[in-house]
Parts: sequence; C-alpha cells; structure tokens
Amino acid sequence: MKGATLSIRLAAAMLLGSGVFSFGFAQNSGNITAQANVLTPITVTAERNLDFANVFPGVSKTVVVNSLASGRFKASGASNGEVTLGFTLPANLTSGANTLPISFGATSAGHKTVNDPAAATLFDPAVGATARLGTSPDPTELFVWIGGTVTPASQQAAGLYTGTVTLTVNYTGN
Amino acid sequence: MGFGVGGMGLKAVAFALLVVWAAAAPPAAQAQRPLQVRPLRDLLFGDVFPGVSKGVSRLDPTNSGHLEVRGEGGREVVFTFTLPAALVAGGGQTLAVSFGTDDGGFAETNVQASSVGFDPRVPYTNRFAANNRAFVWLGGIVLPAGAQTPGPYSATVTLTVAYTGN
Repeated sequence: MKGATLSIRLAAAMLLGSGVFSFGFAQNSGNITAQANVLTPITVTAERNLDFANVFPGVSKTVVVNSLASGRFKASGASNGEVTLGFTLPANLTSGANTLPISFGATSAGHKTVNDPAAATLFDPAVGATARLGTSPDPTELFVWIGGTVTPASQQAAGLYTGTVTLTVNYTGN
Repeated sequence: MGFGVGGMGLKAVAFALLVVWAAAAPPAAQAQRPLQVRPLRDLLFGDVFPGVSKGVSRLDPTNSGHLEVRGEGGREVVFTFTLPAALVAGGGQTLAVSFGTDDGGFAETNVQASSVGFDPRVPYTNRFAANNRAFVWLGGIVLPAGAQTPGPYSATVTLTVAYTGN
C-alpha cells in the first residue's frame, strides 16, 4: 500500500501543479484615457510704431505711454491667461552709420486689457512684467505700450533714425 | 495489492485520487483568481497653454490616472503599461506626452499617499496583498509647442497585468 499511496500523491501533485500553471499566467488589461485641452496660442500684433517725430540736436525728447506717439502692441490668446511680457530694446536708433541713443525707464511701458493707456499698469520694459489677458466674454486681449527717450547730440547728424523694438509674450501656465 | 484492471485495487486508487483531488482542487482554484483590471479615472491634464509643459503627478488625487487590479493575494504580478508617445486631436495633430521614472504608483490599498513609485515605461512586478487587490496610479507630462493647435487631445493608456507564476 505504501507504493500505491505514493503513486496517488504524485498524481495529485501533478494535477495541482497543472492547475496552478494553467491559471498562473492568466492576464488581463484595462484602459484609461489621457486627455488634454490645448488653449488658444498667443498672437502678438504690432499696432503702432513708437514715433519720436522731429527731434532737435542737443535736446532730449521723451514719449510717455499715454501718448499718441507711444508704440502699441496687442496680444491675444486664452481667456485670462497669465503671460510674461519681455522686450528686446535697442540702445540706439540708426541712420546709416549714425546712431541716436535711446533709453527706457521704469515707467516706459504699460499694459492693460483694454485700449486705454491712461489706465495702464506701468512697468520697466527692460525688466518686463507679468499680466493677464482679458477674460471672456470680454476680448481676451492685452494691450502693451512702449515709450522712451532719445538723446541726440548737439552735433547729431540730421536724418531719419530707426530701431526695432520686439515684444515677446509667453504663457506662464497659470 | 496490485494495480490490475478491475477489482478492489483500482477502485481504491480511484477513490483515493478523487479524495485527494477534491481536497486539492478548491485551494488551487482559490489561489488563482482571474486577474481583473478596472479603470477608475482617466489621466487628466486639463487646460494646457501652448508652449508651457504641464505635468500631472501620480500623487494628484483628482487628475492622475487610476486603476484597480484584482487577483489572488500573495501572488506576484507584473504590471505593464502601454503608453502613447503623443495625444492626438480630431484633426490628427499630435501633442507630445512623456512619462518618467516615478510616474507610476503602486499600493496594496486605495491610499494614494502610500503608493510607491515606479517607472511605467518598463514592466513592474509586485504582489497582491491579502485583500486580493492592488491599486495603480499614473502621472505624466504633456509638452505643447508654442503654436500648438488648440483643442482637445487624447490617447489610450493600457495597463496589462499578468501572474508571474511566483
């Protein structure tokens, strides 16, 4: 009987092992979805140039934000989106080989969600600022103005001087 | 005592085999519950600004992906994610998505804060606890371009689980 008993146990073990193996590698899968909603990209439009008009040699001239001569940009994008405002500013305007120094101060730039420079929040364009676009249903826009000061030398060569001012607007993600 | 055909010898063996199988079979069945994967929550990046990456932590209680796995307590299981390289918009535009070394989370109970991190890009092995359950979370990051086309993007994430046999 010992021999028989041993045989039975082996058979049972084989069956049990077979059961474990057959279920042991079962698998199952489930899905979830990864989702994102991309908001409207920012567009920046240059709406008006910064125009110092006629300047006299030896006489500095300043254009303030709340002036028809200030430069103006308009940024559009996602409702209430927070953005950084960064300027690339020239040190001089140029006319051929001649240069005319231009400078910017702590209040030479301003921003507002409506086209009202008198109510703009002023900032130093050399430092930049953080602001928010307008909130829907109002236009989701931000107006940005830039002024500055030109300082012609007393012997400044006559002529038309120009330079490029670039405004870069980026979302912060907030 | 022989094992010849017919007679008491064969009956005794057959009876004993049935007794042993009857005793052995139930534990074997209980010990290998079928695996089940149950999605609990999608991975939600929400509103995304063009040009600004946005990540969701596996510990985020409302936006991380979440799945429940049921199986047999004490058994070792390998968890394998099939992850997208990009989410896709209705027009076919793509939004890059990536996953890092700690974007997968595993816990024996549904307590997210107690989960241990793992890399969802490679198979991860762990064991069911006595409650026969496991919970898995998934984070990640989307990387929209500055001129990313606005709109909804989505992709499927698949979690496959399998017993290792251990």
